[in-house]
Amino acid sequence: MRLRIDKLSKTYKNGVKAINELDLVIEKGMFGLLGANGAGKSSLMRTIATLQNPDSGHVYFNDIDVHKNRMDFRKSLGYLPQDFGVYAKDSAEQLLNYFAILKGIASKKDRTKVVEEALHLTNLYDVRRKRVSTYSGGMRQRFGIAQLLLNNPKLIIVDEPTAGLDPTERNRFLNVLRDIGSDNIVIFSTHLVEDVKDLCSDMAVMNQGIILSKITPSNAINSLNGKIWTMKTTKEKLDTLQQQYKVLSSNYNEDNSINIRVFSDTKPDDRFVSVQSNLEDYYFSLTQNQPI
Amino acid sequence: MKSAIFNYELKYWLKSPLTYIFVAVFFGLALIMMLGTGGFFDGPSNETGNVRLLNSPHEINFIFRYFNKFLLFLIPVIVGTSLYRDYKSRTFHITYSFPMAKRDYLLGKLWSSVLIVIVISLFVGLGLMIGEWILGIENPKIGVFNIWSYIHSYAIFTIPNLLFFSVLVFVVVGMSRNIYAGFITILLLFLFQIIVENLFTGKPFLIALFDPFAQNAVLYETHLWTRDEVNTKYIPVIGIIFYNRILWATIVGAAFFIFYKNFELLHESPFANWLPAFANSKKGANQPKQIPSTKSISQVDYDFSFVAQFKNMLKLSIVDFKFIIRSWMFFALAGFGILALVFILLRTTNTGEFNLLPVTRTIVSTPLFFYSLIIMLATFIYGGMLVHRAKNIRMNHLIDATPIPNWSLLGSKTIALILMQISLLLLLLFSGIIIQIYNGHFHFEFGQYLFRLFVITLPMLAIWAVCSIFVHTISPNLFLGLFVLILIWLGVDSFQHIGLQTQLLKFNAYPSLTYSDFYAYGQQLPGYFSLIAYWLSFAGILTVVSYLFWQRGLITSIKERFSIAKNRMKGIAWIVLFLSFGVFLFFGFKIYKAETNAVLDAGFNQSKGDIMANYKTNFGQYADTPQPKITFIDLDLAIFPEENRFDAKAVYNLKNKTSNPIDLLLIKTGFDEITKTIIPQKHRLIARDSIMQFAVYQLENSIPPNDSITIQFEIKNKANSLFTRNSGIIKNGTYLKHDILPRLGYAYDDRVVEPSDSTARMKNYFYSDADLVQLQTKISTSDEQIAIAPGDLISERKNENGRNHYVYKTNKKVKLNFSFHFGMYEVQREKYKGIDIEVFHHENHTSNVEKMIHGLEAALDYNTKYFGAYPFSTIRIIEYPHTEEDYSATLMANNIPTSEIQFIINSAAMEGKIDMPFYVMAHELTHQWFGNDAMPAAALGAKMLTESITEYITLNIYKQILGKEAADRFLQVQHKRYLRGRAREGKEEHALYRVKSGQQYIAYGKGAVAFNTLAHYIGEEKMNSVLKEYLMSAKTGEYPTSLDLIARLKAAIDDNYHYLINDFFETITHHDIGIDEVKYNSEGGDEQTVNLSFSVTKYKDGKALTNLNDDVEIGLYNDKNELIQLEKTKVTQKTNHIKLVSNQKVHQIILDPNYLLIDKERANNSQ
Repeated sequence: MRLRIDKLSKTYKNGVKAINELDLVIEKGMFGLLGANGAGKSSLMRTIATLQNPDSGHVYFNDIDVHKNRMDFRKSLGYLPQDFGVYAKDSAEQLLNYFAILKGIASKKDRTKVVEEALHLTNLYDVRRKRVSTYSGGMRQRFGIAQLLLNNPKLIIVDEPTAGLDPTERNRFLNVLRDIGSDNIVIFSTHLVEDVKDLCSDMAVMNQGIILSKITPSNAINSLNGKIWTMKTTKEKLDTLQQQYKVLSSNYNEDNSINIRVFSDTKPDDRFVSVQSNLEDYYFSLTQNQPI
Repeated sequence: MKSAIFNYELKYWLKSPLTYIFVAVFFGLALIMMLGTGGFFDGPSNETGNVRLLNSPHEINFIFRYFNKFLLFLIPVIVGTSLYRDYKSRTFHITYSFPMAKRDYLLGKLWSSVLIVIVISLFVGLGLMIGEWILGIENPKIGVFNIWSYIHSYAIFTIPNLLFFSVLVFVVVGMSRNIYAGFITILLLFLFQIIVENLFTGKPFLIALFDPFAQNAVLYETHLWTRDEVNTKYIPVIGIIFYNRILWATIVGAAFFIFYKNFELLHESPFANWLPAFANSKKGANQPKQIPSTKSISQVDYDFSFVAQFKNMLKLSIVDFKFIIRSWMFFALAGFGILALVFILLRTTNTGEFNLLPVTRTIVSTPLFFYSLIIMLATFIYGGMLVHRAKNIRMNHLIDATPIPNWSLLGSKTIALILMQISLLLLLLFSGIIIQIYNGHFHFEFGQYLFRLFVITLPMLAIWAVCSIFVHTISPNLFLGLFVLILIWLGVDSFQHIGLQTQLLKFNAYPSLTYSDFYAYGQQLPGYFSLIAYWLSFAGILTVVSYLFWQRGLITSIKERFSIAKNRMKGIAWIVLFLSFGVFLFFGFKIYKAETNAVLDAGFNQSKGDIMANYKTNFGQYADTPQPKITFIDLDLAIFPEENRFDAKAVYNLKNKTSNPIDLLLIKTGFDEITKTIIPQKHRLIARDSIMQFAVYQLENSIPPNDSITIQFEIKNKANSLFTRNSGIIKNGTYLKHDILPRLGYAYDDRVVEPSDSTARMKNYFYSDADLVQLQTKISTSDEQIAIAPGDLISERKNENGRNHYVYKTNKKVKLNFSFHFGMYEVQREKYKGIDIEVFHHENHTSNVEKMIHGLEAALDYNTKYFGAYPFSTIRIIEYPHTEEDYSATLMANNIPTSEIQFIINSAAMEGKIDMPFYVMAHELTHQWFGNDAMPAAALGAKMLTESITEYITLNIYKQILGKEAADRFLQVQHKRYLRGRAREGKEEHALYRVKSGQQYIAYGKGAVAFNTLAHYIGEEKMNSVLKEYLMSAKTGEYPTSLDLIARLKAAIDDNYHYLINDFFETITHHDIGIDEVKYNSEGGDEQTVNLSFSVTKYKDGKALTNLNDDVEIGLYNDKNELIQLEKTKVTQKTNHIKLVSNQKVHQIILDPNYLLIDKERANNSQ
């Protein structure tokens, strides 16, 4: 099972190159797509989900060209867009039944069964008779997962699903995703490094329509082993330090002093101490010099 | 802040291309309308004289009526959206947190958007003005340009209407946060107008007051205006129109006030709980089954076969259909729709003059027509809703990523709309049946309902459903889509303005169908269904295009849309397109051929005017050529109902009644017939006009004076075409008239002959080629039908070779007015004073038969008493299908062909109205004496001698049988008929003695009043004796003119009353009388003195007279509305004071209680 993206490009009418000659291969498992807002993640996801045509290039899923065989491809696709609404007056059960029809489940009995299972899987069974439009953000995202599960998809695309969720909801959501992700390809876009760290077996960092790096999270962390240094400083000195060193991140302490993390092959100077690298460092080390 | 919002909104609309599209469309439509009505596209007009000007204040307002309604649809688009945009884009989350006052927010949005709507509406006026200018003052329909016409219309109607309903829509959208509710509000206003018009029938004041658009208020003020007034006067504002505007301003103001008070800049609508939600709350329906919690979805069957997707389409359509009918808007629409239906039906079955039975055919006629319009508009709105709804709430990407094919989605929306249409039609069916039960009518015609609703109406609506989905799919936004749809609907109507006649371009428009119980829709159906097939196949093409452009996923450019469409154009799409296109071409060609043939058949490849002009040039020389007269016709007429065919042979006896030999025969044969002329004598064809069916023959041997010849004709019908009925033969209830027979002499002689012209007396008013004639008819039809001809039945042979044969013969000479009937009839027979009365009617149409017979008997009694015996031994009333002619009846020899409508009148419910079946029969039979026995001369005023006298006699019969009160009502109807008729007169109003054909309002309305008033003063006996003398002389001598009767009247009555003859017969005279003041003085006891001041103005031929010498009656009434005394007073001046003494307490005073004077305004006659 394999998704192969081949020289994919998409330019919008206003001249923005959302996807630029992009090549990528994704294998079974959870795949994290990291990138800042506007990096082109959603465009890429939509294009893979066949909701948008590329200007050039191809997407192959197990050797089928998805844009040439949209309907075939959609049979194995589960897609959760970044932002979606639902018919205001319908309950989760009604809406899922509606989607089950759309997804080709002909028998009413099968539909009922699958809908119930999806509701259980997403922990929505108890609220299945409530209108989805009254759900909280996390419930709504889980509903989004429930709908995409209905056709037993082989390829699942979820676009920034954790945005705006509180920590508890986020955890619950990621657990649901983890449960379903083991046998399929799950492409999961986010701008939160945390999400990827917690969930993904493989990842890519995207910026300005191109893939900056494709790597497993552990390799990513290992690649920076011994190259991350930290020191405590003050706000006034930060500017100078930033000019001197490659500062990946900075965060305030309670006393208004600042801890900075710096990337360097060798120890920059005595004030710095070595620390364990993490995924965030990797992400920042890649995107730091990129204009955002 | 307010001005910031105001400016922002204004800029938004000024930047929107939609605004400019609206401006262009309204400007264009107005221009085309003005030019079209002004005849710009038809070539130069040769109308002269008193034409209705197009740019008078009245007419400008009239044209604006049309646009005012159309403009209303801008309100939800512009005013509704100004609020709705914030909800849709959800910017209200942000903007509502700004430090702005709700006053600034609401008023800023409201005023800016109203301003835009009003500015767009101004372009209608501009279009009309430019149209006026292009037509130019030399156009006979254009008067001097007057800017006040426009200002007047805008200030009183257009702008207030737009303002009122903008506020209303603003309130509704603000409360519901739903733009569709704005459109529905406009629809409901239309329905409200229909309801008001029908609810208050007979109370024009209330209709005028409550009409949301004030159209009926204008009508109220202007319905009696004459042509001159229409051309010159302004619509009076003070009065009902003002009250109407105030009323609506108050209603809308109150709505806004309540809205404004409760509106808050909140996330949750403060009105959320005001409107009931029709959510399906299956509370605790089934308890949750405990199923083991799973870690994955079980494997089930996924079916993507065509059949499965087809079934999915149906399932999805049910989901969408439920969505439509679950909303309160739909309930409001359906509820109002049914209310409108009920009230229209009430009016249809209860019109001003007569009531109809609430039979199925009545319900599925006018009420269904209006109801269908509601369904159609609902189809426009809900089509948009279905197409755009997933996208509006951003659920589209969830749907679009599923493997459902586009055609399945597209089809489901279309089917959902059709399901909605079906549900509304079923609602009509149930309501109709409930209404029928309520009226005690238990003869349910389900077959007729189902056929009309689902076979005739539904395909038409389904075509709109496809069109609606198509337009909304193509259109980038909802409003443009709705606007385009409404434009298509209204635009089709305006094709006639630019001279387009063909059905091929009138999208989904059909000729209206008439129903008869005799043979349902009969010949009309092939044409109707050809058009349906034509537009259905067009709908097929539209569906393919919708499929190609169905939006799936995110499409960023038009170019991309086209490239996607190109990719989708394969396989089944091609097949459907080709099939649809093939059917479309097939029926298109069929229709085209039928239309061109109809035109060619009628010879109308030239204009009607040209044909007539040619004819006059070529044959005008024969206008005064003496012709022999028809004295005897021997007719052999066989009809074949199943084949819509007849075959006839006619032998004519022609007698030279002139004193010179005749050697030219001018023969005019029937338009719809193929006639072969056989002249046994040696002759030569001199000239012929095949379009006019006119030929001139020269006889070798001329016919000497008082000698006769015989000629023969073989006559066949022309076959019917798709849209034209050429054959008079129908499956049941065929009604043929003498117009199938050839006639002699120069046809279409339109010279006006004055009654003073001595040559007028040589010919009768009806026919130049016959005095009274005799007719013998051998007549036959299929074995299940009866055949009827004029005269007595001489013999009948039933079921001979599968056909029934009859022979009829007139035992006395009759006017050449014949009718022939063929049908499956029930017959009711009665003998009255030695005369056989027979009524041939449809088996279910029995309810009025007794009344008709009663009418005949009353007329027989009255006329026999005063004017002599009835000449025949039989009188027959024969019902003919409604499809064959209007709703009237005619006397033809001893037959009275009578419309089906007269048989289904609900005479039981006509309490307090004209008893139509009785009246019609009394009137028609009276024509035997005045019209048939006494035929007037061929001159102006002839109708005074036929219709006026007959209507007067009918009034007397009415009084005798039904009483004075009923007769007074009858007289009131005649007054109204006259006053309304003269308001609608297109040319010149003649005096009664010069009444011309077509001026029914004078001949019937004024005529009845004239004879009645005269008879009131001189007495009924005296009047009837003058009429008797006139009748006797007319039967023996030359044909009489109106002047002859007037001379007799003058000779017979006192000089005192000659002024009445002058007023009513010789001139156009009106009175304007009214009570100024009444003072009561009680002098103890029962006696009471009344001091009455009243004024009288008399107008003769439009001018007020200064010298008066007229009788005016004054009636005093007690509190039981009984007449205490009737005073007659001579009036010589405008203002009059009179002292009356009564022996009882006077409760009411009425001037002219007996309706003797023609008084436009009677409201001020009583106190």
